[in-house]
Amino acid sequence: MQLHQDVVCTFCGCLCDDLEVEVEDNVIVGVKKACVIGKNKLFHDSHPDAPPPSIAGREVSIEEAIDEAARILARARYPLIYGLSSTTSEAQRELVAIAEKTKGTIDNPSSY
Amino acid sequence: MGEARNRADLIIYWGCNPVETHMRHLSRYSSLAKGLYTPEGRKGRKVVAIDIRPTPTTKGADLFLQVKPGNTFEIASVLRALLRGERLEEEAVAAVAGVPLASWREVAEAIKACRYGVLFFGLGVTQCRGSDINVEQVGLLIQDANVHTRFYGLAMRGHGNVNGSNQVMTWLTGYPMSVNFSHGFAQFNPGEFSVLPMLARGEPDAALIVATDPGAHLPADAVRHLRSIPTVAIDPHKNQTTPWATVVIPVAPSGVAAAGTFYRMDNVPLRVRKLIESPYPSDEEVLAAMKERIDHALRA
Repeated sequence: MQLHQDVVCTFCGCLCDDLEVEVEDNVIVGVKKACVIGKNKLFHDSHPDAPPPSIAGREVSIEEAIDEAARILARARYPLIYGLSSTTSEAQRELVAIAEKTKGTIDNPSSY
Repeated sequence: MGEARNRADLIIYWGCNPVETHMRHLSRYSSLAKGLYTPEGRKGRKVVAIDIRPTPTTKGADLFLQVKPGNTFEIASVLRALLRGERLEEEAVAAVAGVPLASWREVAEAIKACRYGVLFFGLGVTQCRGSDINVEQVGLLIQDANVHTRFYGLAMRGHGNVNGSNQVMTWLTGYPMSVNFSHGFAQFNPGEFSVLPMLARGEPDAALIVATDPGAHLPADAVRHLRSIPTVAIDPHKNQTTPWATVVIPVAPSGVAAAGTFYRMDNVPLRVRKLIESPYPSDEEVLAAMKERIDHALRA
């Protein structure tokens, strides 16, 4: 079992950074100090219910999905890039670059 | 928020309910926290709440003003007028947002009398007719308060790194959101380039959705347009968007199975860690690969 100290909770904008998280066999088994929402978020992220990579409902590899996404965005005349709110700033930086390359619009939920 | 914790003797919660939405905000950063110059915690602070209905947060306030919905601009304006010493006649302005002028005077006097005040405002302030001009007026209210005392305003950010997206867009383009590159340079115009009006007008011909769930959060007509165009969804979980998105790419959840930077609501960047391994790449890895392939396709 691994015990992680001072973990940052990524649920809300408070980013409480004093959590204690216990990990066993690559699964989060305990969360201390977090609020009930933060605790649920960590447990949820640790028991992944990730959708399979897919194109038009057909299961594909991750690489094929990325290829198709790139093809769609490169062909688009006016793409919208939206979301960004629960990912890292490193990923957000890539999204701004993609918006510029595709001459698109980039926005996050704070605009409405 | 260290400032709020250690110095604030006046806390105003407006259009937000942190007791239920940001549960540790009060004890870690605001009304209940005990800090360097606030050793008495809650006892040493005055707490004002402005909301359209009673909430657990308003119950804990010394003064609660229950306002009529849709009056952000009017409320900020009356407080500005009072802070600037404008003469407002009781007969002419009996009430603002359904609250008597005397109560607004009480809030303005509390602002003038405090050593260090902080206004925390939530979606109740911003999700109001007039959108960006409301926030502008709230910003001007904070400026006016600074003529009398030290006073801060802080938006209660919802999602963990929604502030980070504003930060990153600002350092790269000069604008915090609603940025359009159709002319090859960055243009900013909330409304014209905001997600909801754009989708309502049916303008985008493709969409890349990352780390949010428009299928669950956006109005039905906006979702209808998204469903009619090629939409790429990148998310660590199945949600209300992934069942119908044209391309779905699963990723490692940030801060649990992928490391990186998140910005706290007071603009402090914090490093989030990888605690477990995911079978999937991070958002950053997927997007970096996608960017290269877009480059390649555009050059072809």
